[in-house]
Amino acid sequence: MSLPIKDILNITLRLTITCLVAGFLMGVSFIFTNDAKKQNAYNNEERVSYSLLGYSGDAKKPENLKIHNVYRYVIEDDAVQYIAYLLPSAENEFTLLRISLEGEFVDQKTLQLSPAQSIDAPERERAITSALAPKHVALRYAENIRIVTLDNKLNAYIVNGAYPGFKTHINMMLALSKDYDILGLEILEHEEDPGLGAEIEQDYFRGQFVGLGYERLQELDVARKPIPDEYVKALEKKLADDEAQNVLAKHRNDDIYALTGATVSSRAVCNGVKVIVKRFAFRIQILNKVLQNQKIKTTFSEASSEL
Amino acid sequence: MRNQLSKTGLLARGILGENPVFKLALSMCPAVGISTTVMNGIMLGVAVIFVQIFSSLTIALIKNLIHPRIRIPTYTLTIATWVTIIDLVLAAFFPEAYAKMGIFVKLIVAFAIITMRLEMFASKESVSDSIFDALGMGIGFLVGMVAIGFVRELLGSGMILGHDVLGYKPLLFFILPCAGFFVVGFMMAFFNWIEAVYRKKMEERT
Repeated sequence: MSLPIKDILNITLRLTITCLVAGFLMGVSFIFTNDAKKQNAYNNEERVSYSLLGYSGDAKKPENLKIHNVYRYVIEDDAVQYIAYLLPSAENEFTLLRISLEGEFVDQKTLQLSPAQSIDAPERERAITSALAPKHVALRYAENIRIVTLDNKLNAYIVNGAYPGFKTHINMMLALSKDYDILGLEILEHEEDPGLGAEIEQDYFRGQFVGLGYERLQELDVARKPIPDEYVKALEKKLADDEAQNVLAKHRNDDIYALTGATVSSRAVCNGVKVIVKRFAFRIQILNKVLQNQKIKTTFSEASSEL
Repeated sequence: MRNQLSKTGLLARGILGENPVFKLALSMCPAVGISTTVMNGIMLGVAVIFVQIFSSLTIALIKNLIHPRIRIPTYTLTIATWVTIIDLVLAAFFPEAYAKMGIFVKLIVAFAIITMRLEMFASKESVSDSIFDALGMGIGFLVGMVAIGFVRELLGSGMILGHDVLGYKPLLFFILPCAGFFVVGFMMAFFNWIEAVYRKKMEERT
């Protein structure tokens, strides 16, 4: 049965109008919600950062605790690659620092960015591209490092990273002390199986990483045996303080206990943490060397001698 | 207008007589895939209620404008639009709820139950009846998901709503996807058996 041309046109017209109306409605709601959504995502990351440092719920954060956002980019310029750091240098001002792959200083430029603009990825990239103009470069965003200072002294680092899990990447956030000891681990996004791999979110799993030193971390392994009950209770903070301290100290040198039925996910988190910390320690030392040698001013300058 | 039922009748039909999970056997994918805990069931159920009400309302309003040959694409577009809008609004203004419900809202675009209610009911009946039908079906779906989630969470991880009630894990099997089919199947049989027994009693009485 074939349709007369009039009906075909009628149907096409109606479908087009329906699509246009739907598109219009979605577009309008996107415009009204986008800024709030971005701000929420940023607030959420900030909240997670503070909770990793131990300031969540009732624990008020000290007033002189500041988080300095540093953004790392990879810049490709006529087949030569550079590492670029966007460092906060003053209010509404950032320094774009370029370092060669060998870790040598290349150049630095100052650019104007308000705090609201700096949390918006396209705004940041626009500012970087215009600072490097007229030369056209390919820009690739790598990561956001948060340098935490307390009374202008280096307090901690907060690092993001991803590692392949059972299905897709597991995104995690780590708080590290200045000697790269793990202060906290948060699993941000993952698609592990509910009830199995998704248990990596639980306190008793994440808590096993807290307090591990840099050296210990490099030889850390996943143990395929059940986790002792007292250890779980201590990690979930169900024990009295001094008792919990004893239990935690007793298991301090244990490997990470794999989750029941989710060895792959457990191992993915363990390897991810290892890799993220190792890479970060390597990069921050290079960055710090350049900052010291070139005497580059940043909002965390006073703390950077300890980096 | 062919609908003979009162508003409360419409509500009750969605929850009991034509429960989308146990009677109509619609939207089995989420019922099997997501229902590992009671909380997941509640979240998905609430999300479905919202999308179902808004979509039914829209279709009931524009039912005379829809060309019969393109009604399915129109339903899909309507549902997709509402899912997107609800997703965006939740993400922007209710970030805490979104953190828990976000992934469930996006899933709903492909739900058979919503398209089916638009086709069977909203595209033929009045606006107010459609809203009550949508509410009834949504609540029915919520009840179904919570019931399945209850069994699976209790038997699979020994917990209810994240609270340890048994103190041990009876059978890990129950939170694996395959157990979803068993639980749904047995519960479906159980509810149909209750209905059969009830019908028989009613017949004997009359």
